Amino acid sequence: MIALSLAPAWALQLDVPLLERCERAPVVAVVEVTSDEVRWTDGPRAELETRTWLHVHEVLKGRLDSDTVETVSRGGTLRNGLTQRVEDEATWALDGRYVVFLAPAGDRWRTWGGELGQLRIDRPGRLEAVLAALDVCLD
Amino acid sequence: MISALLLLSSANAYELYGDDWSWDETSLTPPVLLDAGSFPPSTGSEADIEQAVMDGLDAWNGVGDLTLHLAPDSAAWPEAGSIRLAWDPTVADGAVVATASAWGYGGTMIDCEVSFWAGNEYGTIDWATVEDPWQTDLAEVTTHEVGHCLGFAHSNDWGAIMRPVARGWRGLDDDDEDGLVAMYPPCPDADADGYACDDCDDTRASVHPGAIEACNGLDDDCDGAIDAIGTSTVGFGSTQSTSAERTGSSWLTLFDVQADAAIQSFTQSLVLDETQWVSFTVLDVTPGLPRTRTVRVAQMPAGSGPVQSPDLGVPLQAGHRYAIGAGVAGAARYPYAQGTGAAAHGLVPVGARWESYAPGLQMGDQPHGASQPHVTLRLTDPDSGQVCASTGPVTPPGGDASGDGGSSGGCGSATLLWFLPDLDLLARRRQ
Repeated sequence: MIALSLAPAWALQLDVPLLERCERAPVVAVVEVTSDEVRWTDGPRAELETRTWLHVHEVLKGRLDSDTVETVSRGGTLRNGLTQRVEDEATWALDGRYVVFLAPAGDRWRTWGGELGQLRIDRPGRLEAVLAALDVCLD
Repeated sequence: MISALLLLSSANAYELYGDDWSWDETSLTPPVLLDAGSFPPSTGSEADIEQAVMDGLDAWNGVGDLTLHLAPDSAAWPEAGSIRLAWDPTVADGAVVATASAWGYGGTMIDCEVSFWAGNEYGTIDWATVEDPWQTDLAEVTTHEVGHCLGFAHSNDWGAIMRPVARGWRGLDDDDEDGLVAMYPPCPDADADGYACDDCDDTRASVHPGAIEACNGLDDDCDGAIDAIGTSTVGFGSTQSTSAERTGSSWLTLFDVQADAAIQSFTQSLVLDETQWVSFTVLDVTPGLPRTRTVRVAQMPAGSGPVQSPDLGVPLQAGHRYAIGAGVAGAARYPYAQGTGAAAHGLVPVGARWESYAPGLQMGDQPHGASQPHVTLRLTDPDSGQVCASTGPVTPPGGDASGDGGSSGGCGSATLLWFLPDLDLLARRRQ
């Protein structure tokens, strides 16, 4: 997947900035991955989808009715090793912590723009840096 | 991806999907199928679309051991195991303009589908077949997406075609080329036989795809089989024989020889209720040519199971069709013969008397192939089990011809089925 730059295709510096992603996503939250499941989709196309359950530590923007959200993304790996990789779809590390930009997908959620909608919080100070960058967007 | 993310991520080089998400060595040129007609007319003519996509593919060619090209007549190809490119009317999430969905199993890429989206949250995507700063260049995006189909993830190199955002110009940069060479290493042609990566032995100029297979313990033609006769088709067809007394049926085995070879011996399962003379016959039944027959007769004890012929040493000529088989002969009464082997056969009735079979049985005239089961003929060394064939008449090897220290017994046996009375032999024995 190639993310579209906002005007001319070569305007790389104008590619979807963090702040804009925050503004476009109805919900921004700090989450932790608790579990996931890969299965075949029910649609006419033979595809895999990964359902991932996130425990919500803090809602930074918008509103969530539960402290757990279920996200869905294309692709995944079945137990037999068959794998569908869909570029730029969100992929998760179990027990990993993220700042996520969420958009509704039916009765579930997806990350806005796939992997653009997830920021891994895996080092001290990273969360603070992200929050500082998003400050004007957050509630 | 955005600058803020770059500060948070490691800054270098290409990324691959897993350890080895590449196409298998035997399919380094997966067919690329393009549905040019799926694009809106505003993109350009189908010829322009094809050219842009070919330009995008060409960026990957000539660097590693990889050649990508559009398959002619895409609609005629099966979809599985290919790279498929098509415009999709879907409005994609976020700022996405195209997506590659790649399938892998056991570390090997097995299938890939690229969707060029109609639009995304920023509006309609204007696809262009030429480099136009105000449109999205189909060639550039093709190169990027096909890169995913080759096993690349996104690169952190800001000049790479595999970076996650459209770059604005075509072609690879050093980072992309480094990744391609790592994944699909180019091959030298050390033996200067004109074959490189597809040469299964780059130390012998006589070994390469298309070489003539010799009985030398080598896979001369790089088809994965040592001393194989090649792909010879064996068909099973029935033929009717009629006489005044009765109508019987016989079975014969036909095979087309696609490389000069020789059959040294073969086996056939028979059911013999007493010691019998068995005739082993190789018959050239090439349409339009005189039939030549080689018969060896041996006395076989009662019992059931495979019966091996004596040495035949019959040269087989490429392009000819042969019938092969064994049948009881010369007994006062006739049991039945039951065939086994590569194809399932039922009981083969034998006439009550040899005389009941009329001379001139039209062997080989039956169609074979289309409606009959097929197997592949392999001549195998009866001692070692090694598949073996020859470019000419096989002389029973007296030594270790392969030089590998292995057994070098009789060069070839094939378990094939045929039952057909040998009428000439019968006539001679009755005299």
